[in-house]
Amino acid sequence: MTQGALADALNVSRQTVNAIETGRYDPSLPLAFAIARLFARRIEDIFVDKD
Amino acid sequence: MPRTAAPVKYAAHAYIIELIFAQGLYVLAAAGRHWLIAHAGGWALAAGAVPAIQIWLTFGVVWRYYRRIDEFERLKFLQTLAVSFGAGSCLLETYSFLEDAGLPPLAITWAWPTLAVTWALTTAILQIAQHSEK
Repeated sequence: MTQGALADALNVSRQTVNAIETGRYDPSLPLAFAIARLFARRIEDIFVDKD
Repeated sequence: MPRTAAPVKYAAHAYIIELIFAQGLYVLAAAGRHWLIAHAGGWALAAGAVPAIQIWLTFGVVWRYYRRIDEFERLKFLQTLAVSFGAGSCLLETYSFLEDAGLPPLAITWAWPTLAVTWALTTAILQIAQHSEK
């Protein structure tokens, strides 16, 4: 899936998807849940606690 | 997540068109305000306030854009606003002190153009910085 297609599916900008992928932005819980729902995964399978 | 159902990807395009329209009207109204005041008769005070309508229109355009964009874009937008209006205020305050030292007095109508220019410059600088981060 391209960043543009993912952005359209989440109704966010492609820059936002890029910022999340490159670690420059941590999404809010609602957006993180939307991403997890889209990929049919649990939220902790996608977002890893680095601490 | 954006607070409107409209697709986020069209927000910037709509914003630019609306902003150009509002600022175009502002430039026309600001340039023609002296003529309006001179020809308004008993309505001179109301005629003098005509450019302010476009300022409020611009505020509405900015607010509409803010409502349309997603959370990350909103964060960047607010950061840019905070930095640019902070810098613009410092610039205006510095000039007001320099007036005491002999520089010509500046009309308050210069406040908005000054803030608009610092806003545009800050937006451009932060965009370049963001692109170089990728």
